[in-house]
Amino acid sequence: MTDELDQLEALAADYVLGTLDESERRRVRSRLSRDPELARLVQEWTLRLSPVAEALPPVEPPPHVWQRIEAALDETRPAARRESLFERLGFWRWCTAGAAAAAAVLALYVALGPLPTDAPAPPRYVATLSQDPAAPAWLATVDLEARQVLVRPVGQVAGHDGAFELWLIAGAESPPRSLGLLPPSQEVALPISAELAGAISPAAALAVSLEPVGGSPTGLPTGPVVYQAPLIGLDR
Amino acid sequence: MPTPDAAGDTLSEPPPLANLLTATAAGDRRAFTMLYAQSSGQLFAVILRILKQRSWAEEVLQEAYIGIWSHAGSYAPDKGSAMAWMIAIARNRAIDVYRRERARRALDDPADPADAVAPDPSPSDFAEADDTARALRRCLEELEDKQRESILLAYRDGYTHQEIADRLESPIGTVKSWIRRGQLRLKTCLER
Repeated sequence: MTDELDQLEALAADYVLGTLDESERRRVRSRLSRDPELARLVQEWTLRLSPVAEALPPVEPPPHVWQRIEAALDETRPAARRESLFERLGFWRWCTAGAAAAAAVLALYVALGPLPTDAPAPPRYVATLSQDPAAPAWLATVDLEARQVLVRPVGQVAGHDGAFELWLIAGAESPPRSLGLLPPSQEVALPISAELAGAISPAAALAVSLEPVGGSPTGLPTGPVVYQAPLIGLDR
Repeated sequence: MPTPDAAGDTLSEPPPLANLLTATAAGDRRAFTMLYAQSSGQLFAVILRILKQRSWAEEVLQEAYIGIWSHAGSYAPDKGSAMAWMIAIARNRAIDVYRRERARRALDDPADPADAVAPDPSPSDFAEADDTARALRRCLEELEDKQRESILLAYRDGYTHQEIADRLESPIGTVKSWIRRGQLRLKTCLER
């Protein structure tokens, strides 16, 4: 027995424990795919501590969570991908030992990161829509994989008679394009069309304008822009 | 090898999570529905414990299951249980969001949201489900109190070193050393 964990194992143990800060966590994650020893140690610590999490008494989530998951799956998978298991003749071949071994290599990456991928995932962005940085009004999460913008009210939104409309501003040269209307006190998931998805990049921004009830009649903002925010890329 | 009944309705017992995960990897929505029904309560408990806010926890739960659906093919039964694999996905996402939201709110919200849920740092609520859980419980009980509390506050409650130091009213350097000693003793004990 040694009397201390070596440096690599200490890093793995801290990563699983959750005590690393954001940038350290990102560094570990990006290293996992090319450092099998680190990946092995993280996997070991994951399994070592998991019974603590598994011992928590279950808490039933509200039904709308499942409804949103289903809606997101409908968006993300082509219909052919959702055929029944029993119709998939290839399934049993897929289940052979060889495939399982190949899957085992990938499993490491996936068990370790939140949503890691074997192919590059469409990026995700957040935007904090506010007039005052310390008092955001809405938090928007742009998920290109789910093809939706999830907008959650997080602060006080000034009351008024019209509608709040959310706009995508793809760049300095591009006209704003409507993403939909925002209810002032309720979370909303606005779909992103294929055309709009192509316009979303780290150079883009979101804005909210005040419009007549029912939204802008012209397809462009007609009222004042009351909130805006750049898109901030999120690590997968 | 999973049976063809992986997601079938002729079984009186629910199919094992690993089979449901394998069927999910093949694109079987019914298997995924059953997987969610059998595991979402556990994952939600894990996420809620870390985030302490239902609205964030619901969002992270949703993201976790979309991740599970997309990456189910990467699960390998020989690398651990399906539940451990799913919990790792959920915990990682919850911790990321907790760190980010805490940083964002630190400026205008000095109140500690961690106080919203009073954590119980004792391991007494451990399910005696299997040997692995029993062994971990025994080894956690062998740790010094502060070592055990620090490790559980970090792993189960998502606390940072600083938050643990505040809660245990001890210098952060001392907390780090409790955790490091605790990790080593835990590993040694579990390998016995």
